[in-house]
Amino acid sequence: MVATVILGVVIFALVARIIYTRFISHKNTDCESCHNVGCPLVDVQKVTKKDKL
Amino acid sequence: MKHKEIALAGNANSGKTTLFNLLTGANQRVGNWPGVTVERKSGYLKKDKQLLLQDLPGIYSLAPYTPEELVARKYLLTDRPQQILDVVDATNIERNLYLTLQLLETKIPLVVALNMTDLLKKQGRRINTKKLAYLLGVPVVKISALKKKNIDSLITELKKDEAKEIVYPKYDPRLEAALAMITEQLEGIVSVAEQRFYAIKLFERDEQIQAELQLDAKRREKIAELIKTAEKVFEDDSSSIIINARYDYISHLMDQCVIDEGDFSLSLSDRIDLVVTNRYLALPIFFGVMWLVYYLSIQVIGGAGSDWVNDVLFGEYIPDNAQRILQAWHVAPFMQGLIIDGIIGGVGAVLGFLPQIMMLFLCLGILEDCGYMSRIAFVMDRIFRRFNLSGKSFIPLLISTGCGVPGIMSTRTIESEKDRKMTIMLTTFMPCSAKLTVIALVAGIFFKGQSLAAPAAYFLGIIAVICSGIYLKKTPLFAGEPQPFVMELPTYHLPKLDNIIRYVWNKSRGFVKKAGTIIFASMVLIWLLSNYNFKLQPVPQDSSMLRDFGSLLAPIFAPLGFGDWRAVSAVLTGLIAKENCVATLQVAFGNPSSQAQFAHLLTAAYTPMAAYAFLAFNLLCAPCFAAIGAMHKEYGDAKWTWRAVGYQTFLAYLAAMLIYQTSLLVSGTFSFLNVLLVILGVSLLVYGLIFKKSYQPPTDDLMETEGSEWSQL
Repeated sequence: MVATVILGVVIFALVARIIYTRFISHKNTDCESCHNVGCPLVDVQKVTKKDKL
Repeated sequence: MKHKEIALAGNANSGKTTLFNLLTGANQRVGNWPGVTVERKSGYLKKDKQLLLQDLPGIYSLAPYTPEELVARKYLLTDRPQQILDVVDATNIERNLYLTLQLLETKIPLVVALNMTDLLKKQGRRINTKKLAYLLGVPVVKISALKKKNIDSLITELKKDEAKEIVYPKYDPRLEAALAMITEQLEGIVSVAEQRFYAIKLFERDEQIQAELQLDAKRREKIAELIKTAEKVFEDDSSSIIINARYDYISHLMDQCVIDEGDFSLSLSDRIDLVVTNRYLALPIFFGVMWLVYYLSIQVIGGAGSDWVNDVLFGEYIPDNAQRILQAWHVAPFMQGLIIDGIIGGVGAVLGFLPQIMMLFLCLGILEDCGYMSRIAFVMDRIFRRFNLSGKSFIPLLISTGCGVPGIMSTRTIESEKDRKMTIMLTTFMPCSAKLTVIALVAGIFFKGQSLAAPAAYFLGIIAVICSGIYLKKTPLFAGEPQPFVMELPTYHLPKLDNIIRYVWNKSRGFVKKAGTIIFASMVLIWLLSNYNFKLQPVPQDSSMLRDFGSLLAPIFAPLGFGDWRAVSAVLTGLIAKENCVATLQVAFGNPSSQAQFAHLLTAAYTPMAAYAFLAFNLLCAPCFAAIGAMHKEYGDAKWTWRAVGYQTFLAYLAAMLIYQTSLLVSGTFSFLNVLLVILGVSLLVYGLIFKKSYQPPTDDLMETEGSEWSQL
């Protein structure tokens, strides 16, 4: 029962986080997420700075 | 700590980004076609963090003709970096020096990196670097960014604190006299260092510079008079006088510093181009190459890897072990179902295509790095131009084969607003890595051993672009002459291993990351929807919420051959990310334990042509939310975004319907309705492509436009 609850909390928290960052806060959309797949248009320095922060 | 800012400037395809990566250790994508660098990027020198390099877009001049030239000029004039590192392609030195002369006019200290010097020998050409440096009055360093040759000497030159005083190139004495008189008019308005640049720009009647300087009427008149006099003397217009003067100067430099040993001999690259870009052979070669790429990736090498990942890794190893652990932890059966059937099954179904994705990008990376892909843009320009389209529109399409989002963003390089808007609409027709999972699924299961099935999807994307271009160019929204397309064809070279590894790694990492985030979240939701009803009671999939949602829209898709709730749900979830199509089918079919079992269930539910219609619809319909977001960002307008999504979905429906209904006609098992649908679809296509008349702007509008231009002058 405990394992079920813990797994449930972890899975649904992750889902909520992904939905929030992808579709609500727009933190990981467009340009910046494309940096991960080698987008040619993103400012590398800006992203690196942001990652360090 | 004060940084020294160095601008990295040069012609498109001169190797700037390769040099930038080499000097900064950055992981910038190196594209073998122009327009890869639309915005400037920066990075510190790997060996000296005090030197900050700004990678500017590839440009041919400092005239504000293209968005790239605007970005570069604005930066050089307003930010004024301490130094410019001008990357000159030694194999095209005449044209590259044209930009160098203009950079000298800015009076910003300059270092010339003479790149690709390793290729000069093959060209039968020698360049006297010392003499060139003496005549230009700036340091010139021979390098090969690709082969990492002489980079240390270049860094030493960049590190030197005391930059040489820039000496302007001196042109015809009569032109120099006119420029000197214009310079006098600029005293007290711009700094002494900038006077030469502004004087030349005013002489060229650069409207932006005129607006920026806001000279009083007296000075404006004086300058206009000087220009008119010069035009009379030279019997030419002012901008041509400057262009000719610069080329005369370059020709003088060439006479002094360049020795051609093998005049009129064709290089190996030229000889390859004679075949590859041949008017008649270019297209068959392109089809052959793309057929081979898709055949190898999806049906041969990549396919073997995918079978192992699907059947062994995600078919046995991971689910069996996960089940053992979950049972040992006494996890409730519904949670076990969510984890094993929903998450592992769904995410595994997507990750199963990783070997195929890697193989495809390995092939595309090789083609791009060796220089072949640039030729495709050139070849397609020839075809596009026949239909009033510009070849420039093809570059975003090439970028879209990785991901639609950068493809849409790279349309910024298209100057014509109408062409840009149209290209944004058409870019996502090309199969991106996410859509590749659908192609691989359909080709692998329904068309086993048929090598044309997968490449046909790629060509369907190109055909959709061409047909849409023909139709849309006839409408008032997009009517107009195609924009000229000038493109640098890089010399062929052997693909560089680290460039290709970086390319494949970036694409594969992005694919895995997406599976671990957005696909994971989608699968949790889809599993819940497919295992519960609206009262939140566990039910078989045939009574689930997903079935209800899918069934609601299923009749609309019946003419396409897949009016079934599972396929319709896959189409809907594909809007979140196209990989969801495959994952949703896997979950909706009860997460079969092996690929063979999944194939059996799919072939029992759909005919091969219904499956291909499903593939065509997903290939051409509205892209994923991320791409729709990028479209909205680029259009800056919800109306245009809806217009694009509507057109894409309509075309996808039409194409899928024609594929399925025609297959029924050909097979001989058809009804009156099937015939009617085919006639309707074909009539629409024929009307749009052949009979629809091109839009002609009303004569009144033309008069008004002309009038307004005259009034501006």
